[in-house]
Amino acid sequence: MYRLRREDDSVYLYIKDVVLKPFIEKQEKEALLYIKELSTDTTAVYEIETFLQPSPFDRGRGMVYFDEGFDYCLVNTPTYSGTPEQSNRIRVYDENLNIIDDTSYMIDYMDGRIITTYNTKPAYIDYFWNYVSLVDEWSAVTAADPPVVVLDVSGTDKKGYQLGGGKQVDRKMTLHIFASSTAERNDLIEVIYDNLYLKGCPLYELPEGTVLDYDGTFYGRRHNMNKDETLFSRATVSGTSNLMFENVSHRNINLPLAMSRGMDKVMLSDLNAYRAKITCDLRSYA
Amino acid sequence: MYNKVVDSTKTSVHKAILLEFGQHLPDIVEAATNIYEDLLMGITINKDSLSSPEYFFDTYIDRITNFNYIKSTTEIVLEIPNEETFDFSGELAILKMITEGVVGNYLELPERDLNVILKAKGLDDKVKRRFRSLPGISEADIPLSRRFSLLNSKSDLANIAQEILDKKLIHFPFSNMPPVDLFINLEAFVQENINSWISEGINKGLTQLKEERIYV
Repeated sequence: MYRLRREDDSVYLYIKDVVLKPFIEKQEKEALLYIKELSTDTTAVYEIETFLQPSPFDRGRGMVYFDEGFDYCLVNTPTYSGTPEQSNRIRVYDENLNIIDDTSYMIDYMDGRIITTYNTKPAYIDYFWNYVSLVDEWSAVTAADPPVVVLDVSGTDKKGYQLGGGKQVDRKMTLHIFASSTAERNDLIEVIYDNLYLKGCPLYELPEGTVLDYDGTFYGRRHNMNKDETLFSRATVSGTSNLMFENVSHRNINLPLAMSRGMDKVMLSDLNAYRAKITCDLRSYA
Repeated sequence: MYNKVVDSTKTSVHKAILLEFGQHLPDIVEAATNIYEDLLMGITINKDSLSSPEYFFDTYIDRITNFNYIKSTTEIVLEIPNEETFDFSGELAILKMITEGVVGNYLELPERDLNVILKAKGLDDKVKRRFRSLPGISEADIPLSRRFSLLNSKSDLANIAQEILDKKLIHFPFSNMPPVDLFINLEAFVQENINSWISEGINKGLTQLKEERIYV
């Protein structure tokens, strides 16, 4: 993994786990449905039955995978080697509403699934989920209902800043915000802006990739059910600075065609109706 | 005497820098032209599309040429157009959409086809109202043959329109396209050159002073 990708992933994690924390929602006692097509002779897969709009399992959303208090950056605590998977954000019950021990199942945080054996029979679930969809490519915007935030890191400039070695790395960062109302857009702008202005985030080493594996489970959990041994590494890249957000700026985007006739139902689509853009320079020293 | 020299120097250099900036405006316009061609003219677009960037090229160049770049009071400001300050009114509304990016897939519904639909017999008034309220380029200064509305390709109106017109509508080529930043490269061009323009202006201003023998 090279530097640009690390920067992109580090900023993604900062925005998802720290900045957008005020937008985490909770659902209680939702039903779990057994999915025969995804199950095998030894593994039973259950899916959350939800009628929520927007869906908690749209692209860029998903269930919350860190406990409250364990989602901060931890960049200044070198003795802490990593962050464990959540233990109180998701609770699975059997049909008598007895809590099922979390060592007996795995969670697919992206698609809202519980993977277990036939020894347990999950029936209901409480869970926290990310209300704001955060995606890192424009083409994925339409894959989710608003609110959606698109993270775009591009345009690199590298230059010397002192005698001898080292360089200053500047990248252009844009967050495109697509909300479902003016109020929601304004809330998102304020929260994101305040968490970028005069702030920075760590540049993670990410030796094993990001928090979730390709199948939506916490990284390493498939091979080791002990949560204390499968930690998300908070190691940062050595010999480099944090990523600093400079020249943060915001503006609303009103597409001319969407407004040109001044009548109801003239918007191009829900996603184009309440838009904004936050831009900044992502600066680091290496 | 000292103040007189300072004032004369300031005035002379101020005038020389203004003149220098003015001389380089054609370079800025040329850079803007090249950027437009590089970013937009190369895109493959259906020949019948009404949103081809070629249609808006002349208007764009006209407005970029007439943009108020230089503001001179006690100080000189060289302002480069951006999404906020550039005039995207009229037919350039489509260019505004391209620079901001459009989410979703759309079809182009030409104004003359829209008129056919609105006159169609048996079409419910509510549906006609929805057609009338479609967003589009319909300003009076644009020829009728170039006016069009955008129709969400997944909406029921898309099927109704194609059924009445008995033809496939053309896909809006900038559907789901990320923002195309026309001005960031222009700003980079000016940033690359502005120091040399200012130095040149200062040199010319001081040379002018010497020629007028204000300095001893």
